[in-house]
Amino acid sequence: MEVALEVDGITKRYGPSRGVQDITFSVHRGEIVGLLGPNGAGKTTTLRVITGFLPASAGHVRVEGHDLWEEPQEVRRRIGYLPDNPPLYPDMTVYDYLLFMAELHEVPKRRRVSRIDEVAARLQLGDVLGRLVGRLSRGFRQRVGLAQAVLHEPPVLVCDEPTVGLDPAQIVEMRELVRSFGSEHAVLFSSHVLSEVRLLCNQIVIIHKGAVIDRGRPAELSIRQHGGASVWVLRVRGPSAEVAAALRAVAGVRSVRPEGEADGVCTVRVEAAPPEGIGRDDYADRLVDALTPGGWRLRELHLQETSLEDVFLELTASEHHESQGEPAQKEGRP
Amino acid sequence: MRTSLGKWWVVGRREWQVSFQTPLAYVLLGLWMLVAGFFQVGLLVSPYGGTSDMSQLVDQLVVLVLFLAPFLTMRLLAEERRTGSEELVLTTPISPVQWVLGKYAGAMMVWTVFTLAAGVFPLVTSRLAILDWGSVGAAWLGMWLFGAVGLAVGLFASALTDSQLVAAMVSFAILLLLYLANIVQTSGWVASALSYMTLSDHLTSFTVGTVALNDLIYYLSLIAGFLFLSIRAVDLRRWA
Ligand SMILES: Nc1ncnc2c1ncn2[C@@H]1O[C@H](COP(=O)(O)OP(=O)(O)OP(=O)(O)O)[C@@H](O)[C@H]1O
Ligand SMILES: [Mg+2]
Repeated sequence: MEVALEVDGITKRYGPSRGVQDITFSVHRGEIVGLLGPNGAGKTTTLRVITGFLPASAGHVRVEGHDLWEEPQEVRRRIGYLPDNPPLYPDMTVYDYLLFMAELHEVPKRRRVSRIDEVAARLQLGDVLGRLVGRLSRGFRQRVGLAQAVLHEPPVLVCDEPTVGLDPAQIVEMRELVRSFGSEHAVLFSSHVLSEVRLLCNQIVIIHKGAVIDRGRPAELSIRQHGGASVWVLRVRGPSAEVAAALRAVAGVRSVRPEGEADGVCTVRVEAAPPEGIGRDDYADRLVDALTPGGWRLRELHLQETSLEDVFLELTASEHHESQGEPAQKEGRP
Repeated sequence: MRTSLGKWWVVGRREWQVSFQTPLAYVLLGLWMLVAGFFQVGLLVSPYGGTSDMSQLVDQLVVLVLFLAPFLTMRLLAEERRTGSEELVLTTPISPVQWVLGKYAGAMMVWTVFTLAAGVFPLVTSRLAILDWGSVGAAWLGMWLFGAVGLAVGLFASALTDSQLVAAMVSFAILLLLYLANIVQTSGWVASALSYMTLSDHLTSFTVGTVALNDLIYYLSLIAGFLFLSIRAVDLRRWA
């Protein structure tokens, strides 16, 4: 895959201590990367540096090979940006606003109207094109913000907390939109909602107090949490105690906890670290194989994926974190 | 290669459209015409011999411009900064130069409307007396340029802050200083320097109907200077 956006060691200081330090990651074409962090972590700051709104104190941003320092205009041409709570002009109609942004984004004159129509159709803005931006509901304003960000079909789309402040139905819609743009653009979006990041992203970059503290695919991050262990939940037709004993015998299993039995079907929770070289799917087969000698039938098996929350909480609780000596730790000096 | 020229015009046109969507521009235009009409009547019925000399009206109108220019410009950049809307514009491939020039162009279009609207006074007066239209034109050009300086100062003040009120006060203070610079009674080079700086002194050649090149250059360089400062201010405030 081609690298669309490269963020290389950017640092932005506001005064002596706050800001972000040494942020590095990249976004490939067709990929959605989530920048995850609690309030004040430095998400907005990072995105503002990338979009060229704030000059970095150090580091480089490259979009399709163009460096932000050397060719700021070339970089801006290739980025669409939806800022946090997008600051649109309230006194313009949606259509006039989109036309204005299309001109600033250098959409060729003959394509402007058709592009606005296309984008408006895709974002379901058709009915509000004649309304004043200032009179729109939060959800529509967010969509107008997204519309202006994609008018010029930029290779890179940057969204700052696109779902904040929306109602549940609109959150689902906005996530769908972000996901749908992920196939055409390299998408970078920030969020403090873990489930959302897991749902949408190929890559997660976790930042805390202005530094990257971990990154990887969502599944990798949750595996790392248990020191390489994962949790499977099985429902099996058979006696709970015997099933648990059989599963304990499988190589790599750390603990097995029966979680109840009803109508001859028991539920067991297995925490295990698959041996070197064995994927989690293959490992699931081994667990199933262990049931065969007893003649117990498998009703249900699933991998528990909820532990990203734990990763996040653990990583961001820095005291605790430091004592564990996590290698990805990059916390700045106090 | 897509061109980025003319983006100042995109910004200027939007500014012009938005100006007349709020009541402020209409209120200002109404007041401008009202006070100007009051001045004009005052000049015509003056007990010291009524005058149809347009230069006196222009001398009075530029005082009004000292108050008008801050109102016409305070919103331009301060409001962009307060609401953050500048972020969306400055992350498109527009340069700060185009951005600032666009803002200035928008305000200048509004000010041109004011200048043209004040043209009713010579038109009405010409029914009562014979006017030298060349001199009237020169006087109007002088007033227009005087206002153009006022807007450049106002734009600069608006680039310094995110408060419209502060912007208006700062631009009024700068304009007043420039207008009254020669009030300081000194002699020698200081006096001539102060006199050279004075906005009103450079108006005389226009109002007497002769457009002196050095006065023209004075106004144009003040405009260029304050536009340059505005561009620097927009650039620098991102580094804050
Ligand atoms: N303009 C500024 N001047 C000074 N400090 C700032 C400025 N903007 C942000 N900060 C500080 O930098 C740090 C990172 O802020 P940032 O807004 O990037 O965080 P964030 O992750 O976007 O948070 P949130 O989830 O609240 O949006 C914070 O400590 C914040 O107070
Ligand atoms: Mg933020």
